[in-house]
Formats: sequence, structure tokens, C-alpha cells
Amino acid sequence: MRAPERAPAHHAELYAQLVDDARTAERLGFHSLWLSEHHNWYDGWCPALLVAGAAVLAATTTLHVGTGVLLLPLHDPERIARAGSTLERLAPGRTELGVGLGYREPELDALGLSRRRRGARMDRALDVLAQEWAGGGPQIWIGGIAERSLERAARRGLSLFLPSSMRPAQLARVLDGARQAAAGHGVELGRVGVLKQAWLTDGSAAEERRARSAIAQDIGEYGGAWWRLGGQRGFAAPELLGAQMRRSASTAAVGPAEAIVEELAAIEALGVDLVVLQLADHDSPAAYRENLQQIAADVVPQLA
Amino acid sequence: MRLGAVLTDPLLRDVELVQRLGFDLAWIDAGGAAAPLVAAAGAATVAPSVRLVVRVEAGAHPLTLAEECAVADLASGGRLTLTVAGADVALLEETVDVLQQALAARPFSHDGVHWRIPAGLPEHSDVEARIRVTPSPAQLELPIWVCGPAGPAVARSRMLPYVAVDDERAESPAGHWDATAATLGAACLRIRRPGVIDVVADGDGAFDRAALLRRLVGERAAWGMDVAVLRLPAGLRAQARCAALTRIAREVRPRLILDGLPQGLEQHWDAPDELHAEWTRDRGDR
Repeated sequence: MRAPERAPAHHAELYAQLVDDARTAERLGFHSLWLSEHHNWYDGWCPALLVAGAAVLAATTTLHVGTGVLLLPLHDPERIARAGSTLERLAPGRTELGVGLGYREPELDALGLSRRRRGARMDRALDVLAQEWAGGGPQIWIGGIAERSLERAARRGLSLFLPSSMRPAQLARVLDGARQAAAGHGVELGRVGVLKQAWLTDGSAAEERRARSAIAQDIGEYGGAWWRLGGQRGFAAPELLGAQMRRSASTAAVGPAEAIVEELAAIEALGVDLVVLQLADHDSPAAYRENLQQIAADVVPQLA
Repeated sequence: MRLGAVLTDPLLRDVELVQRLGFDLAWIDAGGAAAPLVAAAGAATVAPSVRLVVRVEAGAHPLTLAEECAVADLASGGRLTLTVAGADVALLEETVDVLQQALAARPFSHDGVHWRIPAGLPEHSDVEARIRVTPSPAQLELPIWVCGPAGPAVARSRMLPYVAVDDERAESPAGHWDATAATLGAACLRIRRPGVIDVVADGDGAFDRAALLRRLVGERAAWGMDVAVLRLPAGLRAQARCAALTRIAREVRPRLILDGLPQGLEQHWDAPDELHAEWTRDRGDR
């Protein structure tokens, strides 16, 4: 839902495309469509996921809508509870609420929220949602790989929503840890979802280079602008930022169908039951749709 | 006069009907859906033309409201009107002040009684002096209406439309609009004059057409109501709602558009079959 510097767009057009893309994804057999949240950014990054999600749910009949992730501490939990209940009524059982802490100080400061209190606000919000949705509500996924996030999910028996840049060995370690922690609390961990930057190529090295470079550029843009690396803004620490860009590019599932199938199968073997593909390099909606269709035709059947 | 309908069904299933019947707008509030802005985005997908008036209560953080409005307006292609209800004048004023600034597509800061934006908390090192709410709504000026007990005062101090809602009229709409006109003069002409009007109907959705028309024309004459949002009794079954809405569209709306109708037109509408039979009789043997 962004109109970044490299890809000008009218936002009303982006939201219309979102609904079209949702219908396409449903027709192609995808399980869900996921949206992510940020605020006060020049590219118009979607700040109100459940509002956008309602448009998608109303246009589809089986597709789920997920938030990957909704920054729960930035919201009034009672309002989120009501929004989730509204979606549940409009489209029963089709909302997946992935939640994260948020980290950008300008977003927190705009609302007068202390960065230090994010965790406490998250816990309170999860309590509110558990209470309000005791009779049924969206499934909750806890985003992030910080120790406390994993512990939070384990203690409550919630699902995990893990970021794209993990290698299989790290993913295995994290999952083991979370499952053990859950067992320690006498509960079973919920489902496990993994976000994966991806792009299906024609197998050529040039196409692969282009896609990985687009992923690196994207991370470079907001990592440089938002992240603190070695105590400085990302752009002021080019070496550290470069390392992050390379990591994101190298951990993305980019390549011909066989390569992507192999990568996703390895993830699935760890007990991950949902992979959310974030299609890189989709500055043109046409290219995005074509890639989505190709993935549905060439990758998905081989995983089933 | 523009006509709207309050969506009383929690699933908002009537929105498509309301659009098909030619209502200008659908009114969505917490009576219909727990999160009306969320529901509005869903309704926008189902009904691609009708305007959506969403009523929220003052008190929620206005930045969050502004963001939700922007997304709902974009998702509906620019069809959103926000109505903010409030009982506390200061709270309602501050809410609409922040909303106006947040939706104006430029960086701003705000230092009020309820909110300081941005907060500039000392523990944050990476903060800005002004913030910009993004994305912008599709409309250049997202309409903001006010209602509730604090509505008239805030409408006058902020030059906004006040929605006179039937069961919560704080003061007479005529008095409010006289006071507004006295202050603004001809500038008052650019402000819409909406009302939410209860339709007295029985369990089958049957209502007294003449009484409803008298009511609507009376409000138009008394204070210039130019948007009438009709509210059916809560709890009507789908069939009764459909019957009432259809009859409003077919029988009430055409009688409201002009100041009066030529003699005989209403009889023609009410008894088309008789006239038709007469006409064919007169044509003789064919």
C-alpha cells in the first residue's frame, strides 16, 4: 500500500488494486493476504490495517486477511477488539491478527507513547483481546524473534509470526526454544508462520540479481532511515546497513520454481504451517500479478 | 434534499439495497457495527457508489481516527464523510481540530488539553517537531460533521455542519441555524444541514407516507434541512426493512425533490394501472 520514491502511485488506485489482487489470490488458491503497518511515512504506508482488511474481506469469500504485523501497543486495545469483532461478524473466521511491538520512535512519540512501555502495553492489550474474544475472534500471531516476544507467545499458547531474514538453522533454534518454553508453561504453542521475501525468476542469473538487488534496496531505504545500527541512524553506518541489506537479499527465496520449492519445503519441514510470501520487485502491478500467477502454477502444487 | 438511510443491520447487508434504491448516502454507526470505520470499508466494496457517513464518538485518539478515515476514504474512492459525536465541547473541539490538521496533508504539531502531538517525550532521541499523517484521504476536503449535545456549539465555533439527530437534539435546529446565519451571513450557504429522522413504522415496515412527507418538508422549511438520513426502528426483520426502504425510494423521494408537484401527478403515480386502463379503453377497438 505504498507509493515509494521509485514507484509513484495514487493511493486510491493502490487500494482498488488491493481488492483486485485479493480476488486474484483467492482464485489462485492462496490461503491469505497479509498487510503491514507503519505510520507517518512519506510513502503512505498503511496505518489502519483492519480498515483495509475489511475491504478485502468484503470482496472475497474464502481468502483470509492477516496483519503482518499490526503494531498493537500503538492502538487502543478496546478499539482493536471491536474492529476484530466487526471483521469476525462480516467474515467469520477469516481474520489473522499478527501483532508486533513497533520500534520507530516518531510513531510512538506522535501518540505520546513511551518506547519503554511497549511491552507492558502489548501484554495488557493481549489480555484485553483474550477477554473480549473469549467467545471467538481472530487468531492472534505474535511477531518478532526477540526473547520476550517468543516467551509471550509461548506463555499464552499463541501462534508465532517470524520475520523473513532467518536462515533455516536459526529458524529451527527459535522454534525449538519456543516449543520448549510453551511446554514449560503447560500449553501448546499455536501455529507458526514465516514471512518470506520471494520472487520467482526465469532461472537466469540476471533476473535473480535484479530481484535480490530490489530486496536489498528496499531494506536499505527503511533500514537506513529508521533503524539504529551501532548507535547511529542506519544511513550513518553504511557498513552495518550494507550487511543487513545483504542478509535480506541472501535469505530471500529468489530463483526458479525448483529453488523456491526446495527452500519452502525446508521451512515446512521445521513444522512451519504458513509461509507468507512478500513478492519483491513488484513496482509494476502487472509484474506482481504475473509472478503471483506463476507461483500459483509452478510452486504451490509442488508443495501440497 | 439528499436522502440517506441508517444501516441498522449489524452485518450492513442493506448497503447494497440502499445504493440500488438511489439513496444518496448510507449512515454507519456503532449501532450497526462495533467499529464503524472498519465496517464502512467493507460496505464500500459491496456498494461502489453510495456515500458513506460514519459516526464515531469523540474520545478516541484523533490521529488514529484520521488514519482510519484516510484509509476508509481511499478504499471507497473518496466517499467518506465523518461525523463526530460528543457531549463535551472542549473534547469535541480538540478532536475536530486535530482531525482537520491531520487530514490537511502538511506537517503539524498540536498542544491541547487532551493531546500533545508529537509528545516529545524526553526518553525518545529520534523525534520530530511536527508530524505528517499519511496517507492523505482521496478527498481534498474530507467532510467532518458533528452531532451530540456538544454538536451545535462546536459546529458554530468551527463552521461545521451540525447533524440534528432525532433523539438527541440538544437545542432546536432552527435556533442553531439562525445563530449560524447571523454570524456567517452568506458564507453559511456552503454548510450542509443534515438531520437524522426517525421513521415511525410497524413491524412490517409499514409507515404513514403523508406523515413522513409532512415531517421532512416541515424540517426543510423550518431550518433548511438538505440531507435527511432516515432511521427505521431497530430490530426490524430484513423483509420489513426492505419493504420500508423500497417504499421510501419509490414514494417519498420523488415527492421531495421539487418544491411542489403539478396537479394530478401524484394521482398518476398512485394509480398508474387505472390511468393505463382508461387510456387503452379510449383508444377504441385496438
